[in-house]
Amino acid sequence: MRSWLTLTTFLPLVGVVALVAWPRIRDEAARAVALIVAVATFLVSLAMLGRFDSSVPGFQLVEQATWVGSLNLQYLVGVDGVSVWLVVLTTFLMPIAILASWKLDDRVRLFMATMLVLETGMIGTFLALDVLLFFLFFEAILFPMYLIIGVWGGQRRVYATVKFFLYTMFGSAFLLVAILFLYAKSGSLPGGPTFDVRELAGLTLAPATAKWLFLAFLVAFAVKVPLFPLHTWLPDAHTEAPTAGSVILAAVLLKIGAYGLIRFNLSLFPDASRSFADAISVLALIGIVYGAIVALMQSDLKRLVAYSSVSHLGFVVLGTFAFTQQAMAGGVLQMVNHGLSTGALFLLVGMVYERTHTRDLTQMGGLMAVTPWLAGTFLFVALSSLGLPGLNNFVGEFLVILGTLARNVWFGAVAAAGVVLAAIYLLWSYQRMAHGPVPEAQRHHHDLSLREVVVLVPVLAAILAIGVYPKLVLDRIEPTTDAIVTDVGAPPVGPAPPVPVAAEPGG
Amino acid sequence: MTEAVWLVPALPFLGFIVDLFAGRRLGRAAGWLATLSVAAAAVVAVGVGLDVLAHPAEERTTIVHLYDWIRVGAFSAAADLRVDQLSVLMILVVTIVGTLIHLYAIGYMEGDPRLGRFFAYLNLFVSFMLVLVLAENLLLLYVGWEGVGLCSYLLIGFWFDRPAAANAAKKAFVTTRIGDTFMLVGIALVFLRLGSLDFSVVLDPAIEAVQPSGVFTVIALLLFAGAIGKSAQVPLHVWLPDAMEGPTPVSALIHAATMVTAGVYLVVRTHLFFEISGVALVVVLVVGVVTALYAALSALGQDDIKRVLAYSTVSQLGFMFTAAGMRAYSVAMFMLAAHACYKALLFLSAGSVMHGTHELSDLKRMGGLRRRMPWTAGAAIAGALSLAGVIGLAGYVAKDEILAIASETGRTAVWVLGTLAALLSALYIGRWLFLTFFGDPRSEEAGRAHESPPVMLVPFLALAVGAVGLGVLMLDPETGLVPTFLEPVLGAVPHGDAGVEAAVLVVISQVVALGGLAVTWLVYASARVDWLALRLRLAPLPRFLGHGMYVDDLYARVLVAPAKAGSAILATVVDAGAVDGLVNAVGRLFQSLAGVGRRVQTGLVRTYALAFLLGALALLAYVGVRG
Repeated sequence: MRSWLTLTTFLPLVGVVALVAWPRIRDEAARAVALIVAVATFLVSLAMLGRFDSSVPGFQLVEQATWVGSLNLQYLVGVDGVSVWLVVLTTFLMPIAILASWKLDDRVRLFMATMLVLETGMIGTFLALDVLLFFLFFEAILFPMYLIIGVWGGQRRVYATVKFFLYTMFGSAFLLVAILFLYAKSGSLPGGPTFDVRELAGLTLAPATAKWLFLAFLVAFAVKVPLFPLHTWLPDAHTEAPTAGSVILAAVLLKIGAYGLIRFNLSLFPDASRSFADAISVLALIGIVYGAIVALMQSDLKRLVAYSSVSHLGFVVLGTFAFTQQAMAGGVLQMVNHGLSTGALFLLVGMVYERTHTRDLTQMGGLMAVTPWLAGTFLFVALSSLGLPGLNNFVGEFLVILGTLARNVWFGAVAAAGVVLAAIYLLWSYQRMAHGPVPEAQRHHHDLSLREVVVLVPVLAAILAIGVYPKLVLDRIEPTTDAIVTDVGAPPVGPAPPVPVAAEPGG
Repeated sequence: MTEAVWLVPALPFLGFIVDLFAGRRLGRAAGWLATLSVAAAAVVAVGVGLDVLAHPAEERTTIVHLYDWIRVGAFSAAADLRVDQLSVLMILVVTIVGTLIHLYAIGYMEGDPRLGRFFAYLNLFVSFMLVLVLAENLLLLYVGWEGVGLCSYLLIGFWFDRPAAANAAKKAFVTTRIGDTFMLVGIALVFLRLGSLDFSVVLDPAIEAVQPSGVFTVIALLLFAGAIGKSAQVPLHVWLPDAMEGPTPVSALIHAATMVTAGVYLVVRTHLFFEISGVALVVVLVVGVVTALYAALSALGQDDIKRVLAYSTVSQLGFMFTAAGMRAYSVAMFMLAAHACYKALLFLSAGSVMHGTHELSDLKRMGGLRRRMPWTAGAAIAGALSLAGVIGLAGYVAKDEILAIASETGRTAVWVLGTLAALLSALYIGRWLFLTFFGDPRSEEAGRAHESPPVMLVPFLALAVGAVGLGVLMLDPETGLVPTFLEPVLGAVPHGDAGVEAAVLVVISQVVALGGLAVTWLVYASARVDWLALRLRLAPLPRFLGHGMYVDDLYARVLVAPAKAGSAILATVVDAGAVDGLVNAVGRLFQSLAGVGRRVQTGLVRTYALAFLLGALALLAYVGVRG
């Protein structure tokens, strides 16, 4: 079979069809259908991963079909070292998010179908190599996400969804115009006008044109990342979203912004990328520090985690625009790591909320005494998120800091400072939640259920595995990221050449 | 045996896993299991040590490759362990002292409902500490470095229902992490400027030619910032006294014998950078001397049985950095080992006192305990005499060698200040000893004290042997066992012929040690001085010293409070007000322009989304069919 990517992308829709075609389905069956389809999709994506050749820097497993011949619009999908793990991350977290929503009992059939539509949209976004196809998937995600927050969200869900929508639509408008403009310009290419990102990369543009187009793409993706100061939709969307929504939003949707920057901004406009690199790095650094400080002041646990995302995604963007092998690979690895750690944090926040019925840290306390495994798991994930060596985030953050230091010492130093702040807000929230005396109302919670253990263990295992043996992931990322760094063409600032001394006992 | 060195950290890690998941079911056995796992690691460590000794002095370095950890482009950090004289000394100290303290903890923690968790954390600590000292590259060392910090956090806050313990735990983690962040940047710079993180590459003397000495100064100072945090040196010392909220075995193992000495180990391990820099070595010396003096003074003002020892540890670590700053690395290492014995002994006896008096910790309410707790008192006396520097004991051998080197090499100021700190050490430990064990009981609890069970007393004996007798390993700085063993890695102990005669130095040191002890005996135990009245008359001074000269309070006012206020402004005014307000204002602008109300608008968005999606698909389908 040669169409692994198509199968991975559209398999979830099989579940959607089943759910739509069977309106009287019982809730339990609807959940089961969704879970089975999501697990099957994960297995298919693993098969795809198995066929991924880690020595190839470019796109592979490419599938191509003419869709609209007159426009040269194609169904064109392919995978490389940047997207491969994001696809697997998506398919890995989807069954987990579905299992985490097991207790949701409002319009279950619709919810499960929406989740599966969302999955197809996300995978398609990561795999599309045709810019217009990418845009369609990119927009298609909005609708299910909008429903998830708007229908199953919290009290201020209307405000949150409108804000989420306006922000993203604002960015999308720029993106669409830029894509059409690029298409119009591509007539000069030998193959005629095209949406194929691989061919568009060869397009010569006037420097000023390239800069404007770069900025248009940047706005669309910066909203998604989110890059300071376009981040304020995120805390509201997260706070109002149901657990599964928050998990997917943080773990996958935010990555689409960073992914878009690498896939389109860097590859289509390398010159403009270099000229804007410093400005974007500064915004990323502001995001790192600012997000952390604002997180420090939140008493709502979900808002706190949301702001921590602003801080963590700053590392990804910083790594992307440092143009060194280590920073770029570290940035891509950080996308996966943030997905795992923040996804797990939102899962845990949901589990805490189901017990305490509050997200207000000032109302909590003593969970370590009442539910030690839940509290202990939260601590484990918080430690991964604050960059404890031996767990996943450390590897990516260190590579980003190392690669950024090579480019600009001060940028690297500020990024390192963000690591201290992460320790403060995460330990503070853990302490508020788990330490101290137990409030009267919270003496009788039960600890993790079997279902919750099943939800958490795969994520925890991945967090540990990447921390201890990151080669597993990095080996598949690096050929691609190395090639991207070369293509951007920034002057190399690699480390000093290894010292030619014999490996003798140190003096 | 050397190839099996990975077992040394792996065995305690295994203990951690078992105790973490089965601790509750194991009950008391959890403690025995944890102790055995560390003891087994000690056996392997001894085996590795013998293996190393069997090789000629110049061929004692072995690198055991486990696997490739991180590799991107030219960067690589492997999980490699380094067995050499320095790491062997460290694993022996960590596993042997660790075993003894584990054993003690079985008795001390008896009856705690979360015994399994306690021993799991303690095992995890030992495992990370061993990774730290065995690492062959700086990044793996950093894994151990942060790992021990985590365990310190978990164990200081072990009794998390006490807010003081939870706060102290967080303070320790965050304060040390400030230093660690500088250190991480330093590690990155080592790679970027010197091309590798492996000790066998960057600690080759030939490295000096690679970069100007200024680069080494920056790197050394960044690494030293990590050491300052971890080893609680001025100005990042504030977390250690608070860390005494943890259970006493934790204070003995982590906050006296092992983790806090990691900074000394780091400086000694990377001393080449400091030497090439020159300036950095002076900084180490100054920080060491200042800390030794400051903390010894502060210890004099403490009334809590453990806080005296905490400040004492800070001061003694200052002595070790003083030694390192004078290039006397093997003396620093010897003092590290000796201090591990006598300070652990002092902490364990303090724990025994608290155990036997229902958690009494105020020195003012103790007194006369030597009659009801003879074993504990004996241990405390051995530890205190060693710390005070009474001739022949391990503490004397270490401290005296440091002062002698200062004098010989013409560093008169260091010698004078160091001698002053030594006098203060004799004073604070004398005060601690006499207030606790001598005179008459000053409270009901002290009067009804009982001796601890044998499982807690056995470690006393072993550690007392170390505190008293470890000096035989370094009777002579040139031919002693420890200096000659370490010389291939750390170089010879420096010597000079300035200063006063060696014999005079001995006399001075004994006047200081015995004089200090005598004065405190006179004041606190002879019943000839009303020390409570004296204390009232001097009131401001004890208060000033008792607060550690208000450094902590200064940080709270000058650093923490403004930072909190600034963060609050950022979160409420800037983010929620300005940034978000601006966005909402733009939204409202469009809203009013469109002239639609809120309800219509939300409906609009939903419709828009659907229309957009369907429209796009319809258009494409239409074009597709036609084309």
